[in-house]
Amino acid sequence: MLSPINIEDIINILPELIILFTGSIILINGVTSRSNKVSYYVAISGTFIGLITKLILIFALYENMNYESIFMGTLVAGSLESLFSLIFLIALFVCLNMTKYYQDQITSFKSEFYGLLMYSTAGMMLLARSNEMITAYVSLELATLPLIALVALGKGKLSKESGLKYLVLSAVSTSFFLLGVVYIYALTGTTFISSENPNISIHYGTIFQGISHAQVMFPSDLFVSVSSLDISNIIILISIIFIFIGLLFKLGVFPFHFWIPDVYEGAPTPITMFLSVASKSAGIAILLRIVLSIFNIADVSNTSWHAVLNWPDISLSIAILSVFSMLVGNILAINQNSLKRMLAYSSIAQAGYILIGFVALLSSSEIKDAVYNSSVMVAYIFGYMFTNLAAFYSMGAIKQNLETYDFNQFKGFGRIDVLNSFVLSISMLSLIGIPPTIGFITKLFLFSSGINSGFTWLVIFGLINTVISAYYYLRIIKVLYLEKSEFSFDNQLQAIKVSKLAVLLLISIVVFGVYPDPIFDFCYDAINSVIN
Amino acid sequence: MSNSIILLSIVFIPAIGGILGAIFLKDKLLEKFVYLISYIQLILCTYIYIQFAFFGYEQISVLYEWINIGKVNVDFYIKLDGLNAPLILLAGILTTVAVHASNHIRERINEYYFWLFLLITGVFGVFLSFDLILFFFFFELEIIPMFFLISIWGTGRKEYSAMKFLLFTLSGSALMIIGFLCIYFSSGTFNLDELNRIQINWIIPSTFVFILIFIGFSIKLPMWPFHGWLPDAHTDAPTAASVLLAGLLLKMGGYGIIRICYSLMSSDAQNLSLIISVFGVISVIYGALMTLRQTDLKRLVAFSSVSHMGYILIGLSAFSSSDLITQKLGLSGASLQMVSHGLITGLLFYLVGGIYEKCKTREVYELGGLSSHFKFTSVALAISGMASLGLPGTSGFIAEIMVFMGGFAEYNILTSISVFGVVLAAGYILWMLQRVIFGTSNNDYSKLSDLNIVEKIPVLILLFSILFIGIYPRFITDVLNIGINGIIN
Repeated sequence: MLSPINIEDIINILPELIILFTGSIILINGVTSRSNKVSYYVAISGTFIGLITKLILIFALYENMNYESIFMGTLVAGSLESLFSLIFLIALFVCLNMTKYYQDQITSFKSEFYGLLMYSTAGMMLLARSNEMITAYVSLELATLPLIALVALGKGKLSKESGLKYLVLSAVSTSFFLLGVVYIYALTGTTFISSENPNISIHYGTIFQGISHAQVMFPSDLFVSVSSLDISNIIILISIIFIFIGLLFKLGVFPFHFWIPDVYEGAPTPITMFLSVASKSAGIAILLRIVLSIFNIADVSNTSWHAVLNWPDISLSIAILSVFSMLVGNILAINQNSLKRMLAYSSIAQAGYILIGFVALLSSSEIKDAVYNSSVMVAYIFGYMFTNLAAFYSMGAIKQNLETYDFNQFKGFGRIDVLNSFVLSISMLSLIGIPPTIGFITKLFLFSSGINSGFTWLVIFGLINTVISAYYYLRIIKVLYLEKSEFSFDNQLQAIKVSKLAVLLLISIVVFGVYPDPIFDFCYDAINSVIN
Repeated sequence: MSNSIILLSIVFIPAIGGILGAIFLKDKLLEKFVYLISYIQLILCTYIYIQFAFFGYEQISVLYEWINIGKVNVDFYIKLDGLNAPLILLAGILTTVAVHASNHIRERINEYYFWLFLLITGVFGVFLSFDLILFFFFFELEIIPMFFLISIWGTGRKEYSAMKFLLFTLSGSALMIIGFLCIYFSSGTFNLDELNRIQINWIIPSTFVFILIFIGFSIKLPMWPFHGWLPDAHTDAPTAASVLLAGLLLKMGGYGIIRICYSLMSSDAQNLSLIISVFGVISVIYGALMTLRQTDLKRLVAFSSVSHMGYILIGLSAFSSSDLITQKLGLSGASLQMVSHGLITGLLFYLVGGIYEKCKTREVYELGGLSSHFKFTSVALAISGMASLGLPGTSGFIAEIMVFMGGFAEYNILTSISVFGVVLAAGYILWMLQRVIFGTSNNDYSKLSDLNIVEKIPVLILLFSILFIGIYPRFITDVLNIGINGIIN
């Protein structure tokens, strides 16, 4: 019924294939020769080739910005997934580059380290473009399982402990996701998310079409007494909640945030960075695909579209999660002394900000608003990527010299390691949202999307939290520049390497902070091509 | 050179100059370079002001597309009109003063000038931008440089003061941005010209938006219950930062209120003007009473700022009048008060900074008899003190009389109470002058010398401006009227 695989499908997933292939070569190399140098260079060049291929595909194939379904409708090829793939690949590149400095933190399985990292990235790239729930589940596992091993590959007990923690919790969360998928399949008989290919809607139908045909009246409010509901209503509700639980776990928002501080602290720093940027974006990517496909078929100008589609109005619940994530993340971050742990808590708060975008998207009352709301959210994630990569990268470089993450030891370090301290400070400013950094302008528009959808109180909460967060982010800058160092660094410092990558990240933060139009444009066009 | 290029360079010359200077130059060369930049800036500002004031009030503007997300358009739109032209002139003068006031800085001067010039760019950007997002961008841009200027080169409890300043300002701008976004989603544009032209359909009550933005700006102003950051920040900041803080950053609050709150939500401004007037009177009297208790010179000048910025609110409250003349009088008085206070307080901070450099103390009780050895400083301090208490012949008099005339026509009792602020000002200024300039000295000043030629230049510029405006106020008020007409209609 659906067209068989052809050469175009293969070309479209070439970047994923390159990454997977490189990962396999590295694993084989690890078994046979155990030469770390070779593995490292293979990994770097593989990533680089993947990145270039992706960019060529973006500019060559997707010029018309149409969404195509490939591989019999299980995957899609378009600009939105390319955008997320770009985030994963950039994160992978920075992560590999950073691993160079972390040789002593990782156990002897170094080739496996690189190989698993590649596998995980390929999984995320597939996840971002999967158009079918089972494919999404497989990609989710492909993305998560290597990460569990990677978290545990660091030296020391803490790393093993956090690996185990991550294993148990992500197993539980992915099984929630699977359970949700199974329920929906039981109800609708399909697992396709959206119908780029007309054959899908003719022969199978998408899950949302299936849900809307479930012939039950669905209450528009989530908080209604369960007894009054029809059985299929309850199933729809439960399955949607389960799918969201599985994916919100990836984002690390409140009540699913408990793993974040421990795992982030225990994992080797490059992996922490990868978790906070790539893994989080992967969760958002698939969540966004699901939500956008609703808007594809929903007539949002009709105020009762939730009832028409049998889709519960979950925006208020997500808003509450957002408020608590921001509060918990920011308040717990204040008391941290370890920079790494502080960044972990701050990433919970950042996930809360991202949820504001989701709330705005879920309650948009016009298709145009939905496009705007989701594109500024994606732009925020883009900015968050640059900022967090820079923060972790420079933190790693500083840690290399001082052998500690305790930032009370950073006193006066801004005068000694000028470049890395500067990058760290600028990324802190970007995390607060102060011009001229990318964090400012993207956060501004993220909040504007909240007001656009009528969630002014949520935006006020977000801004209060921004002021709270300014206190602890600025403490880092204060320690770096304002306090006198208690001891002389000169004799115990390694030669401070000026990393080109850190400079590049710094430049992107500032340049896109002053001239963000390319990012906003790209995101807007990408989203525009999905909903229409 | 076309005027719009000059306007563009007024905004960016400080930042670019600061960055280049901080990276490539050192010590003596850097100091010469920053003087050069500041004088270029002064000349450009004067030129553009004269161009505007004497050649037909032609509005000068620069417009580029900046960010474009689907239907949302944010432009890089800067424009010189009657309301901001005097403030640009003021900012040009105070830039020069701030650079002169910085020549005692010895440590980390590259960083120092980098932050100083970034701050100055932020100030010029705020005054010139005609797009709400651009306005907010520059408004936020100024926070971090000020934080560093206070916390690295300040004195006393500098880190505490810097953090206090930062948290207050950030809270203010958080309220403000909500208001801006509400304006946008009620109207569909960030462009201030467009907003003035069209009818806004408020999605949430405009009074709420007015209050949000007003509180945001009145933290900067500062109005009475939100003034907590000001005395600490002023006292602990280095002299140049104090000059800019009092001279320009506070004006951003007043300017923002007129430019955004009053022009876009005029009916709310009229409804709430009684409350604004009450807060103004409290600020004036409370500020003056607090100033009476200060013995630290810098703290004294800082608290007097709270009092003097209260006059702006009284002038603004005349906006509720049905009489067009009264409205104009009040608003021009408030705007002129901003310019005048910028000049006077800038001079006071500069002189106090100089005294502190020489005598190593700012305590009124430890100083005394300065007139015997610091003749120039004493004369300048006396004149600026007189200007601060509003003596005829100085700019302070013109501004205050306009404010009182406007305010009295509308709220006669409240304005009458606030006039006592002038009496109290006479109290603390004369007491200060008497103690510091006259009297007998406890210390031996014979080895100390007065300000040298380079240090005298900014004093002369400021004294000239204060007296010139005092004698020929039309130089500023004619231009202000053009701007105020645009707001009232």
